[in-house]
Amino acid sequence: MQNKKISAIALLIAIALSMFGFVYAHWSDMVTIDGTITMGSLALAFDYVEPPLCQEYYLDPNTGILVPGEWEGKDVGSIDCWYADYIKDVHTLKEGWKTLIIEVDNAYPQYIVHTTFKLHNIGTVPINICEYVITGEKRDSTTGAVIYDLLWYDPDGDYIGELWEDVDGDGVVDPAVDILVINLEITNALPYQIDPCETNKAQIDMDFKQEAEQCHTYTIHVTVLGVQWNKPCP
Amino acid sequence: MKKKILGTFAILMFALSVAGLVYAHWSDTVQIEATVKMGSVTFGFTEIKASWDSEDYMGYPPEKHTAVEVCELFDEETDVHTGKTVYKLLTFTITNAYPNYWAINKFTLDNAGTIPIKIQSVTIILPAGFTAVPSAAYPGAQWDIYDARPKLVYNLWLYKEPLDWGYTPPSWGNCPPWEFPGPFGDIYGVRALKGNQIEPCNELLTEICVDVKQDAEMCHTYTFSIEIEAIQWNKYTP
Repeated sequence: MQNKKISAIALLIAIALSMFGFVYAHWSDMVTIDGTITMGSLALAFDYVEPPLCQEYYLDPNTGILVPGEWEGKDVGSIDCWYADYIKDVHTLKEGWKTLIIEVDNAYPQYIVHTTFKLHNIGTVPINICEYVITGEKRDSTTGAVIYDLLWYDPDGDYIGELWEDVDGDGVVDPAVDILVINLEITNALPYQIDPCETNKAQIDMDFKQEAEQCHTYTIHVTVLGVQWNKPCP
Repeated sequence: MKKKILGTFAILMFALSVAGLVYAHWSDTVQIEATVKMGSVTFGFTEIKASWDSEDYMGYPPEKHTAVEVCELFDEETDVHTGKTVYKLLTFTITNAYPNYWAINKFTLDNAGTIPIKIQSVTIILPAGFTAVPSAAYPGAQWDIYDARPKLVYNLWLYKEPLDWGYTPPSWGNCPPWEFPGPFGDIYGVRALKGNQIEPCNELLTEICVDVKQDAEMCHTYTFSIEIEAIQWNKYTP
């Protein structure tokens, strides 16, 4: 009897050991997936190398041709332009500017100013230039207070349009009430694509209308919106 | 039950992935900031330099002081840009006039703004029944004024002073026409105001002359207005 018990215990131990052995004693192997995603950068800037160029013109009434300078060689109005807000893309280490500033002083009706600028894709992802968002204000030249907002009027969306003083403040151009003060044109036709490291030269032109008010300041803001090339423009 | 939960989860995952496909994109902007400071066109009279008449012509002591000419400036306007002040109205009043009496007033037209200007037009405005006939010999500088009869009652002259004689006397010379013929032509002749350019901060020395004629009626009052329009120099129409 005693012997049977001992034999049974030994058998149970053997079975138990064999079971544990089945669980733990096995060969194993594995593979690992290490994912590394290096994101590109989407960075639109004004070109670091080539500064903007601004030029004044007048329309020669005899030929109908734009002539650089001012009528009869006078120096009346003046224009200056430069880039500001330095940026360096951390990915590509390419440099550029985020803001183009244009200052026109002592302007008058039929004074025409053109500013050429260069957009540069300093990131690593192609960019579609989708939209120019144009806003502005008419300000008191002494206090800087806003008198009217400026409304962008461009029904066919080709960025050859007009800026109107929003006299009635309703946000909609109404020729019976609002006042046309500036003609504004931006090239090139949108959308267009700029690949990484590539540049594209564009131009913003303004000429001032008869109703632009003397001794006042007009400020115009143009936001150039770029979107990664594989997504639709908003 | 478990199948429903799994199904809902799968649909959610699919919806999120679709939404991600639509909304997840990068964009960037740059900004153009333009500031335009407008200049100003402000034009007016600034000063009456001198006035004289046929009674004190050439500075000789007058035999009599019969008629009187008075010139005054009104309607002050200050250019907010430059701070310069001009007057928008000049009155020229002659009392007790008689045939063959003339009076001249010398004044300045100033550009108080920041943009060059040119005289675009000179318009004579007369009461009803009167007519201004422009002179063929001195276009834009002289007009014959007829009343309703019609009779020539006075000549009106408005012209750029032919030579900068200076702002102090001698305030001499009779009413035009006068000629200074010479080898270079009539270089000091009468010049119309139209087309004269005035730079900012500069002035144009100008004279007006009223020359009363034989048919002017006694005890009558003759009035006239002259509107002088200046325009920015690059919009001038010859």
